[in-house]
Amino acid sequence: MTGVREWPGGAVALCRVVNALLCLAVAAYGVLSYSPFAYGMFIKPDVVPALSDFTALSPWLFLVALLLTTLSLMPQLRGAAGRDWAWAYVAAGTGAAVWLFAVRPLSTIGNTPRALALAMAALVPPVWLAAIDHRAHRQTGVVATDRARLAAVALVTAVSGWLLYALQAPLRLEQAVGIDLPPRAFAIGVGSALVLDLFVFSALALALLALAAVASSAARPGVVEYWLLVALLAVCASLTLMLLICEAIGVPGIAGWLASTAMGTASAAVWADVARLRGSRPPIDGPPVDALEMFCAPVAGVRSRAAALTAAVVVVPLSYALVSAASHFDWNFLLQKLSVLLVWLAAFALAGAATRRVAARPAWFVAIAVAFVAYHGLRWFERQPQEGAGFTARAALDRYAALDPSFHLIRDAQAARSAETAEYYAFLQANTLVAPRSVQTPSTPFVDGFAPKVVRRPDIYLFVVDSLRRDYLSPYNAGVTFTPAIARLAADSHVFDRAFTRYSGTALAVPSIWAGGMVIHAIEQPDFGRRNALLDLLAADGYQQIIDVDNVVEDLIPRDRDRIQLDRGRTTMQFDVCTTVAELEQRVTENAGRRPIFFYQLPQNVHIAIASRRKVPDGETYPGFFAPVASAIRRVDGCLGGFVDFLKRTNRYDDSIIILTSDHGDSLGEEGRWGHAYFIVPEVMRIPLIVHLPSWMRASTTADTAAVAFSTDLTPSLYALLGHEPRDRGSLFGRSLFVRPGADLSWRRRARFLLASSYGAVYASLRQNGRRMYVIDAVDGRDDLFEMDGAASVPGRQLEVTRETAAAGRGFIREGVDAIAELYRYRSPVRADAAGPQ
Amino acid sequence: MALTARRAVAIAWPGLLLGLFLATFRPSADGSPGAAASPPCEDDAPLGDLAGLERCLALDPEDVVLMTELGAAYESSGRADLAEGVYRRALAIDPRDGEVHVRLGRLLLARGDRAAAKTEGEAALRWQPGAEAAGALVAAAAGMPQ
Repeated sequence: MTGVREWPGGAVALCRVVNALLCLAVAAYGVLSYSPFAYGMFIKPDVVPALSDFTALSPWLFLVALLLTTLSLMPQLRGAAGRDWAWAYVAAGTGAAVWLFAVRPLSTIGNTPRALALAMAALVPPVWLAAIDHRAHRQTGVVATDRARLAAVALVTAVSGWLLYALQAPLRLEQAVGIDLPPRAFAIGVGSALVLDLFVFSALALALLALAAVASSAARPGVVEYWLLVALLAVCASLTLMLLICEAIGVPGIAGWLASTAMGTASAAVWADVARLRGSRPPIDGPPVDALEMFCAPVAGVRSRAAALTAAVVVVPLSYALVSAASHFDWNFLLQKLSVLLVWLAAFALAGAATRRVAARPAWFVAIAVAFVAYHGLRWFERQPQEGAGFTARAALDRYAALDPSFHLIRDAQAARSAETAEYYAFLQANTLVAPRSVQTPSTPFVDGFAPKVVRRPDIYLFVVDSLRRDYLSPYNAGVTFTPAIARLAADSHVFDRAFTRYSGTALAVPSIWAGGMVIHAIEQPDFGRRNALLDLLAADGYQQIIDVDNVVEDLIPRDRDRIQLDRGRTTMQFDVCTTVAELEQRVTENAGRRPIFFYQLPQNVHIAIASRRKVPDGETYPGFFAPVASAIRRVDGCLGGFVDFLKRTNRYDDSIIILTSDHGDSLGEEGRWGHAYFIVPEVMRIPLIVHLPSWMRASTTADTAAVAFSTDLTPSLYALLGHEPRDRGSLFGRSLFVRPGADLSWRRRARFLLASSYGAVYASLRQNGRRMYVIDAVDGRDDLFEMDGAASVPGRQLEVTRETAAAGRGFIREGVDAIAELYRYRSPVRADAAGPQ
Repeated sequence: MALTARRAVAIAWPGLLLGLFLATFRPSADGSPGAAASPPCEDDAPLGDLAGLERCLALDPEDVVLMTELGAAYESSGRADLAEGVYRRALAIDPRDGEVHVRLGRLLLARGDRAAAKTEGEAALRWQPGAEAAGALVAAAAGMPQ
């Protein structure tokens, strides 16, 4: 007797869950910080302010969790079983809290190996507590689960999981953009989802039966079976974390497996801890608790109808809310897929609580056989042409996958890879997100020496609006009514109709603009000064730089006292074109009559993380557009228009090159996609490109505004316009958009170009004057072909990939990737010649 | 002994079936894109002969670049009527192709249709402002000395 009243098991379990969530969040933050890509793209530029708040609050959160945990450990601290471990935990926790307040490690770890170490350390407390609770709460009398019950629970989970998401699909269809899914195609999708769910959970049923069979040989089969279930959870969680998350955020190899295994194991330990706390006092009457019931206890309790009912009621809206909440900020459906796995786990636990007695034993095994046959029937059906339907079965399933995240998850896992394809993927992955220390940056000047300065050097204003889509601007889409100022500027400018970015993310798109060509695939560009052709030009022609130094550009340009830096004190995500142009106008006025000006900014107004947080003003409506982004663009339009008016007012307009473009576009609900992750799709790769030239420059040049153009062409274009004829450095580099009137303009339409994701092994070849884009995605394991023509409001549509297209596209991409490696003297661990014949 | 064999079977069958499920989960890669290669129409190198161009265009009837090449090949072989047809098809797909406008305009000018040739030249200039070839076409169509 300790003399201390013990807390109810549920209350202690709640404390453990709170503590575990905090520790897992810290571990996840550590892994994100360790990933150069996630650190550079999310943490450093403060894309998600909640992350910064979390780092600031983390010591306090830890203190609260420690306090709660200490209170819940009072019986052990007063002498119950587990006393020593409990005291050690409280002592170590107190020390950790002091350290957290003194060092604030989450704010200081940065992108270093310490981040991974911190992640590992953060997982110790929940595992430690699980050990204490297992010592303190003995479990007896767990029996083996009836085999038919195991099969039944898996299959009931399949049907309930399918129902959950299939019923939500019509709602998502209403909200989605660009998903043409006739009723027949929808029905095919719903039916296929059921078959896939049944197949996957039949496999789970077989795994459970195999574990039960192994456990049956043990002296205490029920206990062994239970622990095998926990081990299966740990393995599944680890594999999920590795394959779904670590590979997607660029933490592959040993570090990835270490992080995934540790987090998967810790999650399973927490699950077992909560199961022990909630299931340690089984009812005295009734049949004994079996291993499956014990395993399901964290969600459904043990023999608690109220708990099971509450959980069931919560899971339905939760499954919808999780997907909806995550979709706008998701990283290639990653969070949505994770939420599906959590919902499946909850549904499994609830099915375990709901199917305690199972009759008709053979029927469940027949159902497994039927699932197998149905799955292979579906595969056959998918290959059949749908006569007169206007769509292929594959297209119908691809579109349905955008509405049903559980179907999406299974379908992605299904992606087939031939041996050649696997080798080819390995080749792409070996050339993606490479370590900066493994490359030698070449010097790639566009000119051998700068010609004497031209008499008139215009001011240059380069606005690269992050995530700005072309079809949200009226010069590209007649349906847009909210960009009148940009329309006026365009009327007096070259509007390049088929402009593309070479990279689908800021991290490489911005360096490629400054370099005037493709760069090595590394988030941190080593020794970039050797390739910074734009900076060389500005220096040679004596430009006064007025720059918003964002988190990407700050790594590309050396510090320069002569440079005027705008928006000091603001983080990258706070760069707002409206506040910047006010400051810019002042600087331009102060500079009157001195050196020509070069201005650069990467405003974030339109970025989905910013635009979505901003309230659309009352009275503004944008039918056919995503209102938060359209409203943000309206604001950008007003401020840009005001700046152009300032230039006109002060007689600078006809002495200025004004460039409006973006680093990449954005997905705004197309086929369920949001934002710009590592996928390459038309709405992300197509960009606006509007270039206003002084009239005296326009008179002496020509350009093919309907030919394919790239943001990498901007730097060589500025060279040409300022009288430094840039050399043709090959297809990986940009070429001037503006040429002498007699020059050949046709080559752009005939050439094929390499495009790439900034964040993953996804590459594309662009041909037919930017009309056809073949994409190979080594992350999701798929090939896609897009046609980009037709209505201005439709960024592109998907076509069937033929073997011929894939072979030619892969061959071209391999040559391009190899050429970049050659340029940077990067020795890829997987050479192109080892990648087989594609 | 009988009991042991039974137990072995009890352990083995779900494992074997699970293996079957996992092994057949992913479709065979034989039919996946890229498993075989025969890419002559997708090659960037010029096809050269008329028959090859026509065959490839039949495979991808909306490829404007191929149409331009085919039109040029027809012109070289003296089949202006076929070239004109191909250029008009190309412009129906991409009316913003300045090069095709100029090529068609030259054909029309050679046939004596100055007004139509001028229209094509002006259309080219809309997308290629200041382009010498388009300007020359307009000037020639207007009867101006070049």
